[in-house]
Amino acid sequence: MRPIGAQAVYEPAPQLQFEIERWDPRTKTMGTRRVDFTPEDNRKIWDAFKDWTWVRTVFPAFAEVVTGMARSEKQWVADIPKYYEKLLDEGQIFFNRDKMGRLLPDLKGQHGRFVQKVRLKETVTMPELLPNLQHLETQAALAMIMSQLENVQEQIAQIRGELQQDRLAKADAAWDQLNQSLKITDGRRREQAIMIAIGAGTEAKRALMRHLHGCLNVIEGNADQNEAQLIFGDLLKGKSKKERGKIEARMAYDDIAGILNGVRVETAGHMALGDTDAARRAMKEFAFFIETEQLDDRDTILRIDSRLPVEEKRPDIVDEFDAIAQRTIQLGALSAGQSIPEQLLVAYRPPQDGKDDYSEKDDIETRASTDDVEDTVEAADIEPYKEEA
Amino acid sequence: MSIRKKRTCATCGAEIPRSAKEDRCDACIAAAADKKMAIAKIGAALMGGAGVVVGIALKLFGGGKGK
Repeated sequence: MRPIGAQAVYEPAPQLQFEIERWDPRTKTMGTRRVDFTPEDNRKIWDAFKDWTWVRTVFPAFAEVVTGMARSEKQWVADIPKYYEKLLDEGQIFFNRDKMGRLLPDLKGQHGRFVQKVRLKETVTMPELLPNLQHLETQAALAMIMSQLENVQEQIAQIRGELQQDRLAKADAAWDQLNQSLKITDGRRREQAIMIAIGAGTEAKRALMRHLHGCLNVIEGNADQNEAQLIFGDLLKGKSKKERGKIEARMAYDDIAGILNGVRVETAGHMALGDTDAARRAMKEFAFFIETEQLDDRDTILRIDSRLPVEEKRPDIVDEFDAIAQRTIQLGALSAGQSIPEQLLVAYRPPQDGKDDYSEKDDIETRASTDDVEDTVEAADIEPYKEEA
Repeated sequence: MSIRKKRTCATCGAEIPRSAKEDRCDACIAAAADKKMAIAKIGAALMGGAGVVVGIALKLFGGGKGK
C-alpha cells in the first residue's frame, strides 16, 4: 500500500470495530470494549463488500435489506392542520372530489362550501424494510443457535463411544453432503444436492431422536438407585444395572450430538436456499422434541451426565445445551413477523467460574411459574411432536 | 429472576439433578457399590477359606481324640 501522500485518489475508509467482553476479576463484572480491526483486515472486509455479486451470494438477507432500503417510494401526503383533521374525523368537512370521484386537495363543508386548501407533503416510504430487517434478525438468531449446536456437538465428539456408529454416520454423512453441495457452482445442481442433504439430515435426526427416547427411558428407569439396590441388582440379575446405565448415558450423548448435526444440516440447508421460514420450521420441530423429552429441564441432561465417571463428565455441555434448549424453545414459540428478542441475538457466554448458581431464565416469556421445577412451555401455533409407540 | 443453588455430588463435586434422592452422582454410587461388592466377595472367599481350614482342623483334632 502506498503512503497517503503518494496516492492519486482519496476514498473514505470506514473503520470496522469488534466488541470484546472481558471479565474483570477486581470488580467481578463483565465489561465490553470496542477494538478496531487491523488495517489489513479492515481493507479485506470492505473489499469483499464492494463485490455486490459476492454479497448477494453469501449474505442474501443482508442484500435484500440493502435493496429494500434502496427501493424507496415517494408519495405525496396531505398535510392537514389538527383542527381540520378533527372536523374530518367528525364528518363535518370532506375532501372535494373530481368528476371521476377521485380525491382533490380541497376541503369542503356539508353544503359544498369551500373550507380549506390542503398542502401536500413529500414522504419517502420503505415498504419492504421492516420485514427484511426481521428476516435478517431471524437469520442472525438462527445462526447463533447453529453455532452453539456446533460447539456442543464438538464437545460431545470428544467423549464419543464406539457404539451405534451406523446411525451417527448417517448424520455425519448428511453434514458432509451439505458442505459438498454448497461448493457446487451450477445453481440447479446445487439446490438439488442441498435438498438431498436436508432429506438425509432429517432421516438421521429422526432415527436418533427415537433412539434417544429409548435411552432416556432406560436412564430414567435406573435413576435414583442407592448402593443396596445396585448390589442386589447385581446379585439377582447377573448383569449390572449401573453398567448398563453408563452405556446408555454415552449413547444418549452421542444421540444428542447426532441430532444437533441433523438440525444443523436442515437449518443451514434451508438458509442456503434462502428459505428462512423452512429453517425456522426445522428449529420449531427441534423445540417440540426438546419439550417432549423435557431436555429443557436441566435435570434431564444432568441425569445423563450423572451416569458418567468423573473424567467423562461434561458440565460445560450441560450448561451450553441448557442454553440451546431455552433459546430454541423461545425462537420456536415466536410466530412469523414477530420481532426477535434481543437475548436471542447475543452470543452464548458460558457461566463464569465460581458462580455457583444459575438463573431460571424468567425472561423467557413462554416459561411457566418459577417455583415449578417441571416447567413447561406453551408453544404457540404449532402441532406437538408425537412419540410413536 | 429466581436463583437456584446447584446440587453437587458429595464425593466428586459434580453437579447432580435437583430432584436426585441421593447426595451423590450415579457414577459415584455405582463405584461405591462396586467397592462394597468387591469387599463382600473377598470376605465371602476368606470366610469360605476359614471354614475349610476350621473343618480340616476339627477333622484332624477330632479324629485324634477318638482314637
